[in-house]
Amino acid sequence: LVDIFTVAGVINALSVIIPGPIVLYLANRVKIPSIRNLSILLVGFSVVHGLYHLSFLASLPLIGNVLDLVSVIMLILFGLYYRWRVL
Amino acid sequence: MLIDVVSSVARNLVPIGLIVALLIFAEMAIRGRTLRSLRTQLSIFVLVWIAAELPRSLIVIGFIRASEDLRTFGLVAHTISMVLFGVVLVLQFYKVPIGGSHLLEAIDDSLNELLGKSAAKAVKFYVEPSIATTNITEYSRSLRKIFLDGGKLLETRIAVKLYEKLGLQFTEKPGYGLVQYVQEAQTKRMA
Repeated sequence: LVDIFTVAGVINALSVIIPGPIVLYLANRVKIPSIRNLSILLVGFSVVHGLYHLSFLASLPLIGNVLDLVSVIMLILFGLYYRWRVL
Repeated sequence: MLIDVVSSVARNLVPIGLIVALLIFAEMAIRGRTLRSLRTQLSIFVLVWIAAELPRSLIVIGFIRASEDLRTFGLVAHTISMVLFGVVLVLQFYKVPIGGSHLLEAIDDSLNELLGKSAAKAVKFYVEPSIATTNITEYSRSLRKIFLDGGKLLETRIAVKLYEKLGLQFTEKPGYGLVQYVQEAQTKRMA
C-alpha cells in the first residue's frame, strides 16, 4: 500500500503542474507586457511548487527546500506585481 | 557542502516568505468584493495554503512541535488548497464569455475587437469585468495600469460600444474617460 504522504505529494504536484502549460499558452499569445509578466510569475510559482513536491517524493529534500523558497518568492512577486500593475 | 548551507538557509526563510505572502493576499482578499474575481479566489487559496504550509515550515525548522495527526491534517489541507488552486486557474481561463448587462457586453466586444480573443481572455482572467458594474473607477484604473496610454483608447472604445447598445448618441469629449462616459450614459438614460 502507498502511504498518504506519497499520495498527497503526487496530487499536490500534479494539481499545480498541470495548469502551468495552460497559463503558459495564454502568456505566449499575449503581447501586453504586464499580463505576460503576471502569467509567467503565476506559471513559475505553480510549476516550481509542483517540482518541490516531486523533489520530496524523489527523496531530494535539499533541492526541495530551495524550490520551496523559490516558489514562495514567486508567489510574493506575483502578488506585488498584481497589486502594482492591475489593482 | 554548499547545497546543505543553501538548503538550510532556504528552509529557515520559507516561514518569513509565507507571512509576507499572507499579508499581501489578505489585503487583496479584503479589497476584492466578489467571490468570482481571480484576486478573491487566489487570496482564499493562498490563505488556506498558508494555514497548512506555515505550521509545516515551522515544524521543519524545529520552531514548533506537532503530533502525527496534526501533520496529517496539515497535509490534507495543503492538498485541498493545491487542488483548489489548479481548478481555479483552469476554470478562470476557460469560463464562459461574459454577458448580462450592456456594460459587460460592451467591455467584452471591445476587448475582443481591439486585442483579439486570446489577449482579451487573458485580460479578463486578471481583471474581472464584473468589477466594472460595481466599481467603474476601479475597473478603469486597472485598465490604465495594464495598458498605460492604450488604456484611454480602450476605454473610449468601450464607451462607444456601450452607447451603441443603449441607443445613445456618442460624442468624444476631451478629458473624459470610461468613468465619465458611464456616468453620462446613466444621466442620459434617466433624462
